[in-house]
Amino acid sequence: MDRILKVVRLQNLNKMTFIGIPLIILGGAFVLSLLIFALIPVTPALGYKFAGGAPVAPMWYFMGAGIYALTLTFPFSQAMSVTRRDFYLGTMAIAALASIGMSLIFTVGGYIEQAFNGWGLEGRFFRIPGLWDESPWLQALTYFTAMMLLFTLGFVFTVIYRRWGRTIMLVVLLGIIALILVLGFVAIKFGFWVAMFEAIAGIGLWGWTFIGIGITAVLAVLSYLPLRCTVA
Amino acid sequence: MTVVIETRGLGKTYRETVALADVTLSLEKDTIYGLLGRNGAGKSTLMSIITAQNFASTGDVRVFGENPYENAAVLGRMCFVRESQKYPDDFKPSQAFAAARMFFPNWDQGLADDLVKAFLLPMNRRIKKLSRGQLSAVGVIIGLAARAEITFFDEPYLGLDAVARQIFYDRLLEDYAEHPRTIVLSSHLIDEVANLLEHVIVLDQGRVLIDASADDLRGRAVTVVGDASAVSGFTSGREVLHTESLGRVTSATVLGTIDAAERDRLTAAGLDIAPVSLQQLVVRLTQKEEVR
Repeated sequence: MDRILKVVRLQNLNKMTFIGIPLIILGGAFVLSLLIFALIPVTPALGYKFAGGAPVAPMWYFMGAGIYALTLTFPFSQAMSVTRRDFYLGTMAIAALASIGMSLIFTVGGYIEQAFNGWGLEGRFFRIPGLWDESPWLQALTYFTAMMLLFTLGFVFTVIYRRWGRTIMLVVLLGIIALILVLGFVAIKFGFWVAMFEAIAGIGLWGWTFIGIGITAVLAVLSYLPLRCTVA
Repeated sequence: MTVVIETRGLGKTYRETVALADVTLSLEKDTIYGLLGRNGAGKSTLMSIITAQNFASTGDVRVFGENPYENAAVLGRMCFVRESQKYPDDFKPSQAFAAARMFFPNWDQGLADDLVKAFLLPMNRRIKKLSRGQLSAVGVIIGLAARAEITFFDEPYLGLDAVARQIFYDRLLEDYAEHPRTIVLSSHLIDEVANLLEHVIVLDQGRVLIDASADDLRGRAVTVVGDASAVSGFTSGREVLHTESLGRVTSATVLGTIDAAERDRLTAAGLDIAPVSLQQLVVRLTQKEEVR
């Protein structure tokens, strides 16, 4: 446990990676959204102003953080005589901590935003439509899951790249894209796409969040196995 | 003596290249080892396998009697900073040392601070902006101040100027005298490190060419200089490693020792006897091996 905590501290020796940059991205997106809220009228159909994709901006950075953790921090952790297991657990732990922090900011921000009538501008930045209306807890859990999923995706593809090289990584990536395309094609060809979309909608937001957690967990375990025999 | 590292039949193959072949070695506690050999001889590969940063294709490794792979207790007692070590992108030397302080239980901050001054290392410049020599200095400082029971230095002198190299050798010996430990120094600047080494391991094309104590090695060959015919009279029947001629003067390096009686005869014949430097010996033995 002590060794895993040390890896958490190692990953956080540079405060920018997991704290600074996500906050800067979030802060920047927030300020820009406020400026836009001040300029645009309320969307009549919604009854509020919506910041669109801006609130998810810090999530995408997390995919980069997953890649960075492996390409640079992993070789350094090897020089620090850290086992691959401790590196893995410590790195996943700091990603989880940062994701929890970010989803808490969104929850607290959402309540403040609500109390001040959308920053006095009837805007919605922290309250993601649908999720927040269903439950602030659902929003927090979904945000956490999405961040961890993106981090794990970055991590998985980098492990594959480092373990088996570029060709195999591209094959896996293209394979997944091909699978999705084939599924879409088959769904349209055999006319069950309506049923499929209904089924997807039927799973509901909570359901999808739990599926996301499941996928993240599977990817996280799958990334550990090749890491055990990856040379820095 | 206590054996701290043991390798048996260690081999490493990358596709068609053989990086290591049948390396069987025992390294003892509190000794300075020189791991010598040409570029690509397998020095870094061997060190990275011993520290479980890399994997052997065949054979096995024991460190402190255990398999080092994923073995935190064993790994924590070793330190190996690679010659091409990667650091997190925006790390400064101060952050790298803060990390090392966390992970190496015997870390001496005073020694690290001292070395930073000696190497004139800028602490607040990002590591990726450092010069090659300064980058080497970061690795050297981690290696020395970590005071790990087994420390590997992988060509630590790259980019270091002559003064900095001497600082490294001096500090290494000084600290080793106070805190004995097992040190493995990989190098091809053999003459520079010859005086530090207690034991020499020479790798050539992935195989162990020499594994002997430095004292033992120094007596293993001798150079005889003088009149060409007198020299050839001496060398006949001996294994000659190298000969060089200039006019009537020939210098021949032969394997083996010279006893007192023979020494007198050689002196009487007007021949000079010179010791063979470690570097000469390694170079000649390596060349001989490669001709085969």
